[in-house]
Amino acid sequence: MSRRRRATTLVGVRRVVRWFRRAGTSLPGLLRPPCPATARQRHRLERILHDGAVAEISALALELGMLSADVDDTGVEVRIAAAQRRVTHILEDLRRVGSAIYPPVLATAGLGPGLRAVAERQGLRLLLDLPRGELGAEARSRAGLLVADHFHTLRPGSVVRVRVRGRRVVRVSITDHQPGGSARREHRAVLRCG
Amino acid sequence: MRVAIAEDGALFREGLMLLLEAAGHEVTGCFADGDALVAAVATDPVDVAILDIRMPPGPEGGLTTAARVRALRPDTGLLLLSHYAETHYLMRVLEIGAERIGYRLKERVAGVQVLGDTLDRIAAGEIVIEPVLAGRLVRAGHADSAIAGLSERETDVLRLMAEGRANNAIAGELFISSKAVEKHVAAIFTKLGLPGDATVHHRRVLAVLAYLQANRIDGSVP
Repeated sequence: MSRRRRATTLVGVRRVVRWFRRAGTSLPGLLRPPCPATARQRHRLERILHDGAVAEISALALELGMLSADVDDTGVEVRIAAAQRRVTHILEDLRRVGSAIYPPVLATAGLGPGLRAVAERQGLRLLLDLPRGELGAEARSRAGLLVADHFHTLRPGSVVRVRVRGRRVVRVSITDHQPGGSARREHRAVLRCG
Repeated sequence: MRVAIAEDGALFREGLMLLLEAAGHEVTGCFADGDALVAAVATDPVDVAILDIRMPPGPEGGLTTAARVRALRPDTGLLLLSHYAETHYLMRVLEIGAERIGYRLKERVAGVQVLGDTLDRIAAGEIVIEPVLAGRLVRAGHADSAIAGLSERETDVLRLMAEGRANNAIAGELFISSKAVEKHVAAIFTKLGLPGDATVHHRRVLAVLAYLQANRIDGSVP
């Protein structure tokens, strides 16, 4: 490329960047979707947590409830109640970890309900634009994790629009507007599935 | 009260059975999946069936089983349990029915008194909603100017309505008279512009929940 032509191209790029800045937006950022193996592993981990530690600790809560019904000593009752509160806090923490690893509603009910559930927990206002037909399991899982992970980076009160299109080649675009007058941001990702 | 349990976690199932028996209830059967519960309830009716949401058959087998039990035995109360408090599951529960039904977190019913109270309310025809979820919906609704315009007392009444509490229970919880609760409920319905009859218990719960959910999901975009 000649020096003159390179200079003309640079001027053109600068103009485009200035136009984006003036429009109060920025160039779309590219998001990296999880690979199929990572998505499967995350689902497996959430199941292990749910069926293992969470189930055991919930059973422990029942055990404490039984003990509480059996004792007559007020002091012991108070200590059992304190232990039950600690068990509840541990379960709340595990629930947060499990939801971040693999959102439970995404696992059981699919992409739309799964993303709505994550948005609600994060205090986001969400508009979803999904394909009419149901996506395949791999596309659902990978696109869901990609968007859910992005939701976890947003502040409560953010307004976010998610658009998903395609079946084998799935295109995801996310536009978010965080509170406090920050600029609207755009993110895109392309997933090759199946 | 005659109760049947369907829960795929053996430890929790056994613990729940012992707790129910300690509370003076008769456990007619414990099953690891929904199909076995439906077969049992078909031949031996119970007052309340307790179901885990995430159990076979299917990813939300407890919900599909609850719908089958409701179709088979409309008078049987249903208590859905989960490790997660999610609006999606609540809405699915309310699609199954708006009377004699409940949705609670597993560890939050781990006491003779709270479990007994939950079952009594369901058997009496009420909707019982996990307070953790009702509280979250009301807190999230504060972004809405109409909810922000409620007084502190009215917000407390709204939260208890979203839990499915009847007027006398709200009065007991807040140490106020039933008349005062009625006045607060009427004020909430007027301020939020809620449709329906505030005196019909399940309709008012549905109206409150629909309002709170509409204010969180699929809002306007930039």
